[in-house]
Amino acid sequence: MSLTISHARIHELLNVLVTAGSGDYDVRVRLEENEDALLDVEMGINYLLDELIDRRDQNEAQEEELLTRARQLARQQEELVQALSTPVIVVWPGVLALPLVGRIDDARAATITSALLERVTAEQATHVILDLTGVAAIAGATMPALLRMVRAIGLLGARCLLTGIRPEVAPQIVELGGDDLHVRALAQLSDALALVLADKGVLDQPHR
Amino acid sequence: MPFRYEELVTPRGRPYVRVHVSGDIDIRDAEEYVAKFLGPYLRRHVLSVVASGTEYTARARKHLLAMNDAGPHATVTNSALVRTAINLMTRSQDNPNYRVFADELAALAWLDEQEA
Repeated sequence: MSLTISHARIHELLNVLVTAGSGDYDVRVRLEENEDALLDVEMGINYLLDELIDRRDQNEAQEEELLTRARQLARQQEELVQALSTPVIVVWPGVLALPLVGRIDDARAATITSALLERVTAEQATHVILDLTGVAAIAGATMPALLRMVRAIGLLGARCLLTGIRPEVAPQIVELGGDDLHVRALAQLSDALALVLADKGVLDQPHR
Repeated sequence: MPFRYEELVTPRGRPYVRVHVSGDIDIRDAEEYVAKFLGPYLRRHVLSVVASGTEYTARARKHLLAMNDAGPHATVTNSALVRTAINLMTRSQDNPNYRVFADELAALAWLDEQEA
């Protein structure tokens, strides 16, 4: 097979290689019916560029798929966290308990309040026990959010009790004005339940 | 359709499939082509006449390598571009059952010499 080295063809080959090297794989060597070995090289470069585009498209598709999956997982995780963050338990007919765990910011407090108020109405609850055993420290926005929750429960006619307040949390509650609400605080959830049941006449009055 | 199939007989009486190929060949076309020669035309002698201007997509080129498992196959083309494309596609295969010709009679003579 003959080889016709044409300056113009070599120049074009180099231009295509430089352009492809800068990341533009859409460029192609112009092909003509030349019966020589350089045509193999020219077409080979075009085929290589086809392959690069194919791989790039596959990578983009995989990336998109991974992003979609990540978004889906994040949404599922958010839903799960939301469900776990408001585990409202009916401990006795008309008596709800809500163990609070972790940091409670404004957004979470709003979600918890909304879910809790819905349950207070649905269960016609007379008492709500907020258990703070899982709250190690109260962040800046947590206490006002908690106090709003207590007020809202009161407006629906239910009585709110706080339990499991840790020693390091108690001063924070006082400092943030929590004691103005005159909410009954007890050591353990079981104490609160005993008190409520006594209020309802189910149990003898416990020590207060 | 980029393929037109005919069932013919060589001058020495051997049946073969003559395929006229033209236009743009994409992956679907390549799949159809391979399916014919690994299916109903399995082990049949093949003469493909590829027209000037015929082009293959990257995926089609890769898929056509499966023709390696088909029967003896001669391709006839008078286009340097098509010949180069086929050379590049088959370069790594080194398949003794496959050859490219510029002349159909020479291709038929070669096919006639091939064992079924």
